[in-house]
Amino acid sequence: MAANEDRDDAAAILNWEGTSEIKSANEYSRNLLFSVLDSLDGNKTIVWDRDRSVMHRVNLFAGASVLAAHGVVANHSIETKKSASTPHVVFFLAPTMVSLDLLCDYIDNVRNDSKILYQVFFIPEAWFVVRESLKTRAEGKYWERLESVKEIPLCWLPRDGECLSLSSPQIAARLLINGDWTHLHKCAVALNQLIDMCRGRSSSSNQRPMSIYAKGKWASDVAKMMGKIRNSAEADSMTKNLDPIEGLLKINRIVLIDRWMDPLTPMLSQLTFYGLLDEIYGIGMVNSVKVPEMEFKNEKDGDPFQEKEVYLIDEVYHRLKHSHINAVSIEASKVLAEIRDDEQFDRDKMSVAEYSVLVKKMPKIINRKKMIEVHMRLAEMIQSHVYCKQSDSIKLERDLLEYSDSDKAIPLIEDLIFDASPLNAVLRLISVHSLTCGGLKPSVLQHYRRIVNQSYGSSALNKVLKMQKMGLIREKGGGGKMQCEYAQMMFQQMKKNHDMLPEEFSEAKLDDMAYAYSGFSPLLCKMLEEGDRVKWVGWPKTVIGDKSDLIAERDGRGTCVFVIGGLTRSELAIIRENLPNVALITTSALITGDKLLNNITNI
Amino acid sequence: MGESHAPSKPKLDGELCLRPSSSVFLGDQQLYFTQEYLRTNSLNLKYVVYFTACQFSGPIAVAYSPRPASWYIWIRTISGRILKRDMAFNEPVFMEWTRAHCLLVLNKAGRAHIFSSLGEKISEVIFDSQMSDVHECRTFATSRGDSGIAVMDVDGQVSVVNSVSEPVIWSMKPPYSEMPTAWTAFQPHSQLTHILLIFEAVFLMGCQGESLREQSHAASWVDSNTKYVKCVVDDARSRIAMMTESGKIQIVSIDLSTCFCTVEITDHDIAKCINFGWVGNSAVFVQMSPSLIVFVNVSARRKPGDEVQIYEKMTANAKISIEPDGIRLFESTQVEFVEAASREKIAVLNRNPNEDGAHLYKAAQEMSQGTGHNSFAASTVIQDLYKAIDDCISTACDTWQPEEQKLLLKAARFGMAYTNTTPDTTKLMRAIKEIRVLNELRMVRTGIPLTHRQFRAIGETCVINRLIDMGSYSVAIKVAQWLGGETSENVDRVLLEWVRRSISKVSKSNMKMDQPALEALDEKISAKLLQFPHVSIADAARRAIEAKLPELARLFIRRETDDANHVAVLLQLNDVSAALQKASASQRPQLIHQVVRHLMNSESRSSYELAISRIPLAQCLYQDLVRQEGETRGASSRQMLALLEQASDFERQTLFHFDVAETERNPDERLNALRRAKDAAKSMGDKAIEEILNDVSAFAPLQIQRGQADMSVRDTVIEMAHDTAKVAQLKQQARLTDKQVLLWTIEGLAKKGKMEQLFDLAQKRSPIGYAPFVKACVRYKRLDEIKKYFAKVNGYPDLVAAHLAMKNYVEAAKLAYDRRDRDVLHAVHMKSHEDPTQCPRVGQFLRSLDQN
Repeated sequence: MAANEDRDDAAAILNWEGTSEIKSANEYSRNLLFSVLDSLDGNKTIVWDRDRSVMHRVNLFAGASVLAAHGVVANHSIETKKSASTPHVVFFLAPTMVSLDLLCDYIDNVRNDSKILYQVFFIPEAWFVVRESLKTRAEGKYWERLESVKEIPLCWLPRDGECLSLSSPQIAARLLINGDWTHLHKCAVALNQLIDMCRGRSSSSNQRPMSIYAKGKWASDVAKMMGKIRNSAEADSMTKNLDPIEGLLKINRIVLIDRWMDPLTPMLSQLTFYGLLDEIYGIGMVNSVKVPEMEFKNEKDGDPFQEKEVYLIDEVYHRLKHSHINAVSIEASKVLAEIRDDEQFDRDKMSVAEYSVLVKKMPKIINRKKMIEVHMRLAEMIQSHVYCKQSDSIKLERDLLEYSDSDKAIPLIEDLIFDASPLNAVLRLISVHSLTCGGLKPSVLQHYRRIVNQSYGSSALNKVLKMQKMGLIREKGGGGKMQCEYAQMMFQQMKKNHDMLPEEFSEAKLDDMAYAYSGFSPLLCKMLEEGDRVKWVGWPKTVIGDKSDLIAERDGRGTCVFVIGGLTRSELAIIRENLPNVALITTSALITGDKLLNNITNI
Repeated sequence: MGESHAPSKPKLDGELCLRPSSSVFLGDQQLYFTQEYLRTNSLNLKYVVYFTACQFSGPIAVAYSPRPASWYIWIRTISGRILKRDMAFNEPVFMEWTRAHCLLVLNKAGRAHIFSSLGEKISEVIFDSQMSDVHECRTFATSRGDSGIAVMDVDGQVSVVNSVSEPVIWSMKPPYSEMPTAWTAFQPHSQLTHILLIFEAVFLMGCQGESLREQSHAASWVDSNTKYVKCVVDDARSRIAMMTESGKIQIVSIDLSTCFCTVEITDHDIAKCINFGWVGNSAVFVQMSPSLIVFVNVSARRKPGDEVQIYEKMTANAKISIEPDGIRLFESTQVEFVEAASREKIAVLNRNPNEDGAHLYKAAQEMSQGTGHNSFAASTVIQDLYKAIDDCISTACDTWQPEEQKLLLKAARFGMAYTNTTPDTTKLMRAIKEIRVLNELRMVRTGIPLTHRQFRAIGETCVINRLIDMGSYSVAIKVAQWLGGETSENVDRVLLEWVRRSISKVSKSNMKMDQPALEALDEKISAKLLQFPHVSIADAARRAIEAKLPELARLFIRRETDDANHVAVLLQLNDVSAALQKASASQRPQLIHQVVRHLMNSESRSSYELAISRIPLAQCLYQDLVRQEGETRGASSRQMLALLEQASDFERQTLFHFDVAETERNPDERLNALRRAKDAAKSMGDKAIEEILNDVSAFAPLQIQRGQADMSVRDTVIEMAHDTAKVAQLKQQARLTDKQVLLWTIEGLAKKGKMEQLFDLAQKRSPIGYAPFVKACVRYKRLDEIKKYFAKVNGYPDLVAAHLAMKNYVEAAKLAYDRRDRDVLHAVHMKSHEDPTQCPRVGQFLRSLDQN
């Protein structure tokens, strides 16, 4: 309890709530949630799905105390089957068949008063198969018991106050392995919601237009779908029931780009403080990271499985997070200097007024010191990890970026495989090798596949084949059939055209596009930078709305970027620091190379 | 009305009359006579045998018999417009309109037919199986807004249906053999249907399910010295007007317990009248002959001994229809409405000095006449301005003449200017809208002279329904738009009814339904609907389906821009392939799923899976559906595999079998899955993958025998490192390289502590150097053995690797520094961060090298 109080106290003082665009989007989502709850008169019991991501998603916008202010007097888990005494029982469910089974089980086994109204809400959106199945199960018995079945489209999740994410890391695999185009449709629906945030909800004939620029196959498809969805009656009927605040967001255009225009960058090691936290420890849905407590406290003894959760929502973290891991100390020293300046006072010479000012500042000073200590410790841990364990891999990545030979296997990769190093690390290096040389020679690819299978087993071979299908590992010529349908990246050519490996760069300068990857400028960021420079001329354009809005068209600011297939945090940092006209960054998911590989789907 | 001097063709239909209404006082009542239509010769009522008019100013129906046993029925609007002509009917004995805007015609044999206002037959009620010939018939209003029928045969038995739309017949037989001298049927509010039979002065009443009983409690007011010959229930179904043979009229309560008023008429032998009924709720009429009608005040406020208040009106061959708020007189050349004026109308129009409304109206008149100074004088005496305004608005609604309506509305607006607070214009706006509608309905071309009270009684929806029934679609749309706005639901309803009528008219005709005819009809209807964007073309298509014209529906649906509606209609037409293509083109998963569900419900699996497989977008959605349902149902993956095989998708088949192998717990089944993956890879034509899987398939059975099915090749070699023969066998089976075998053997021996074997292995020349030996000893903490192998290490790369394995960062740095190898030195420096004591010293070497 004490720790919680400390955290709340720190949060109250030092939280950085994000950019104005993120705050507007959060306000929109919060109002979606509240309008649903407030439309139900009387007290409510929320029954949460077993899938905890639903609760996490809701809690990003409203915690238990805030929900209580909107009539929520109890929170139950759907598996505990606890009786409710409120007029409404509200089910927050994930749109899956598993959740549907749990709901039916609850209805069958929990003895609630028949007058209690069951309200089902799928979060973020209902999968129509689930809805249809609910209607037909037990000849409609369950459907009749439910007062309403709706959805709360909490599509956009805030990430570190700088990015909105759909939290769909599996989208690339779905598109490339399963051919499941419906995920593009979900992107289109979510982007239309984003347009509603900007333009408000009104009939299309009265709506200000929104320009959509798209690069890449998926982006083009999404742009088309957005236009079709906008004109459909279904969208109108869906949105009629909701009445959130409209027109909060100031966005003049939306730029869509495929991750697969640049599949290489996620395979590389990120080198920003932010990105490395995600790579090594994994930043969770609630913007926190869990680290081994023994390591955090630098103790020899202790429970090796004990974890410490660190929330990454404070102002100090915001200032440090984009720094290159080798330059964190520079920024940290600035923060420390400010803290020392704040602490400088001469008690004997201070007036009463100055004293009262100091008293007010003291909690903030204390908490900043605490935060800087925490984050400096995290930085030390990360540096140690990078220097001691990843330095060879990082150097190899750098070498491959400079020059890559498709005809020979890389000895370091072979050694790592022979040594059964972590599988994802090996697969990422194979991918980098393949993508940088424009495709592996068939004999080299076969060699890699064989030794991976021998060291890790057939499940690893399965993963390699799926990476081939996804285009993360490519074969040059040859008779291989496991081919990716998406066009190849052509790294060698792109490297020259976009100057992706500049001679001069600085890890300490955030306005250098090559800083985050120590001399490598991600192609995706380069494309966006060039597009922004020429005001997106040459990019295929779609206009949603009826007439041209000259003012918005000429204003280069207010650009929203949406990356389909995922964005790394280091790329996010580059865009944030180098493209001031990009007011809002959105993506299907914030990913790392490991996350991309771990979310490869099954057939 | 200005008269045209030019000779003109005589008009066939009537003419709207705009003459001011006349009025007469009838005690505390004031009767207004409004001529509605003139020159109504076309009604041709002179030779009519039967006449009936629909309540609420609906159409009239007349029956002629030009020759014996030959009968024809015509239906017209009140203004004379023909809705149906020369409808043949056999021996009608009774005609009446129901409240549902239907015409009831009863023939002598007791068979009742129900027709629409356009003469279309709707239904039939058969009484004849239970009764003799018809003697008399009554209709009565029901609580549900419909009409019931009561038929009395020549034997005095009464047969009743409570609703013309639910012909369930029940009957009641009186105990006497004589015919009753008067009778009626009615349904009190929220009660069962009642039958009242009067035998001279004996009152019998019964309701459904009960027998007739004498009403003894009526003795307090019954005049037992005479016969009761007429009884009529009022529109509110709360009172009955009784007429005796001696010329007395009594108003009694519906339960016969109370008599409110008794009037004795001495100037006329009213018992011989040809018609008798209510005029509003405080007066009755007695039609003595087609040329004379007597109006009688029967107000409850009348006291015994008061003078009888009557008014005699001469008419020309009049026929009467009874309305809730008055009666309508159909004469030879005109139609006239008689009503008892409302309180507001009396207050405003009678110039009563005590009424504020009269003053306000006078003020408006003065203003319009140009004597504005008098209007202010008139307005200053008004006591309650709000009441005056309301009275003027109400009177405007009750007025027939548009000019008079305008003047009254101006009076209301004039009054609003003098109110101290912001006036509430809701009433005024509503009145304006409703007056506009009423004036339109009263036009000769429409012929529905509704009064405002009638309009309020039936509501705007019913008005629109009546217009639809009459086929007046354009007027219906106009009225709906005026009352509800452009996007009113009533507008849509009218349009769809028009579509349905247009389609059914064509489909019922003898016209050949060839393609040009269908296209012409499609063009006609679509052009109309395009003027109303919010009305869906899909609804028109659905109407065509209902009329069994699927080709027409297909023509309609091509114009539909809403994909969801388009797909839904195609499914109704069972054009599943077209629906699937449309849904796929829309790129909306929900639509595709809708079609897939339709297929799954209506066709066999093999059939619909084949249809789905032709469209890739639908195929992947269906696969996702199968996968998700399979996960929760615990079903096998056979269905998914069948789909992949059907599509000849060998790539995904290969991956599918790999996925099965990953999740399979049983080693034998796992091996089978891998074998199937190999077969799929072979079918795919990828020899390289097939080759690897061949090796896996060859290796796995031995693993299963050894109980090591979960171990990789590497793990197995490490585990078996001490057995030289086994290692050689594994090398051959799995096609390992020498390097792999040596590395894993070293690690295995170190792990198991087989240090002697490890030493023996080290005696041979090692092609991979001796650093792996050192590394393995460090990993498995064989500290005492490290020195032996470190002594054998030679060569710069191996020495650096060995030092790093032993965490001798400074020594490794020295070696690199001596060779000026900056890359290696940098790498050593990176790794030395693990050891805080050595890291600075390594850093010194790096800085020294940089300085050089």
